[in-house]
Amino acid sequence: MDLKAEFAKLAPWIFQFRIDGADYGGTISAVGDGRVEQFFRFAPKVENILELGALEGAQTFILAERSGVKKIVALEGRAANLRKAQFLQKLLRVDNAEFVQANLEEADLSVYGKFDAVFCCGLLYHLPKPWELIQRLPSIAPILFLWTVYTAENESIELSNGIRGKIHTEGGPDEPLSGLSSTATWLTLGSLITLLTANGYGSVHVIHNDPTHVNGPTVTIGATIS
Amino acid sequence: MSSDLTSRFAELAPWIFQFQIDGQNYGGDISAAGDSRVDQFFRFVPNAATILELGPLEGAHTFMLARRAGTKQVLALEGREANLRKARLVQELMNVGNVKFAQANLENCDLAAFGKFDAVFCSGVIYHLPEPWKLISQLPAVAPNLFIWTHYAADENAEIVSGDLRGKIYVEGGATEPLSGMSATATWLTLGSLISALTRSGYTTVHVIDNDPAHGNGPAVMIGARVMS
Repeated sequence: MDLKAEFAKLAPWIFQFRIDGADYGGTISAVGDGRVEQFFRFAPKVENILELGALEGAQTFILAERSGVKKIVALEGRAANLRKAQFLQKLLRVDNAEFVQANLEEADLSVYGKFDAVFCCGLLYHLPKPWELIQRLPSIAPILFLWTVYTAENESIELSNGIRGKIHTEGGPDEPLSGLSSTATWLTLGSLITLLTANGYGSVHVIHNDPTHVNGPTVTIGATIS
Repeated sequence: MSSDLTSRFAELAPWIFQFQIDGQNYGGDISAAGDSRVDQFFRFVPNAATILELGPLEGAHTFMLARRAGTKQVLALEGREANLRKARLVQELMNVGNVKFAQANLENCDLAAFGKFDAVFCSGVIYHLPEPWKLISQLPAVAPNLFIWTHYAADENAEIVSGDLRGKIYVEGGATEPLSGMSATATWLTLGSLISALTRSGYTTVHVIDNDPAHGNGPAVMIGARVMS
C-alpha cells in the first residue's frame, strides 16, 4: 500500500501519526500529550472509556494501547474525521477501539452503555449548549476527565439560569476542528464547575488551570461522582 | 455545672460556640462537634502535623484540629482580642498543650513571620476580607496544602472587583460583631475568580470538595488546594 497516497486521499490532516518509523498526516503529534497522562493519573484503573470528540483518533489510540484498557468507544461528529480514524485503526491494528458517528449536541449517550470514565478533551467549547452534554454524563460513567477552553469572567455575559459565558463563532462545517453548529458557548470557570457539581459530580478536581493559554483560558478537570 | 465556670464564661459573653467541659455545656448555642469540615480537612491532608489556622474565633475548630492523632502544633491567628480571650480560656480549661493563639489582622499581616506549616486551615474567613486575593497570594509560601471553606458570590450578582476578578461587596457587621471581618465591607469572590486567584498564586491543583450553591447564607464551597513540586 502506498501510505502517502492513502493519507493524501483523506487530507487535510490535523494530527501526525508515526507508522513503521515514518510520519504521516498533519503537523501536530499527540505523542507525549500531557492530558492522556493526567487522565490515567486521575483514573488509573479504567478499563472502559467513552471518548467524546475523537477527531482523527490521535488520543484514542494512545488511550487504547495503555495496559488495562479493554475498550474505548470514540464518538465523533464528522464522517470525514471518522474515515481518517478508521483508516488509522486498520493500519495500527487497534482492536479495542470503536469509532461511532454521533452529534454530541443531542446524542443519547445511554445507547452506548456504561463506562468507567468519560474522556472529553477539546470538545466542550465547541458546543452551543455545553450544559446539555454535561447533564448526560454522570449517568454514563462515575469519572469524567475534561480539558476545555473557558471564558474569562470579565468577557462573559449572562446566558441562562445564572450560567455565564460568551458566544464563540465556529469555523463552519468544512473546518474539521470546529463544532457542528455555527456558534459555541465558552463557559466561565465558575459556571463550568457549578454545572458539574449541580449535575451530580460530588468532587471536582481542577488539575490544571491555564488562564494565559494562547487560544483562551484552559482548564483540565477530573470529576467524580462520590 | 460548675458555678465558677459558668461565671468565667459569663464574664466573656457573648459566645458563639458551645464547649463541653467535664460533661457540661458552656458558651453559645452552636456546637462544632461533628463539624464535617474538620474531617474533610484531615481527609485532604491526613498527615498534617503542623497547621496554621486562620480566623479561629473562639477556638472551636482549633481544639478539634489539635486533638487529632498526629497533630503536633496548631498556630491559630485571630483578629479580635475578645475572641482570643475566649479561646485561651477554653484552652486552659481543656488543657490543650499543642495550640498557640496569636492576634493578627489577616487583611495585612505578614504570614511568613509565623513560619512554615504542613497545611493551612481557613474556614469561614475568606469572605470576611475586603481583598481576599491578598491573603490567598501569601498562602502557598506558608504551606503546600490549603483547606478553605467559604461563601462565594453567584456569578449573576458579581461585578469586577480587581483586575479580572469578579465578586460582590458585602457589608460586614461592624467592629463589635465577633463573627464579622475587621473592615466595614468584605468581598465575596465568584467561584471562578476564587479558583483563578488560587491557581495564579501558585496552587497547582484545586479540588472542589463540596459545592453548595443553595446554602442558606449564600453559595458555599469547600476547597482543597495543593502546591505540587
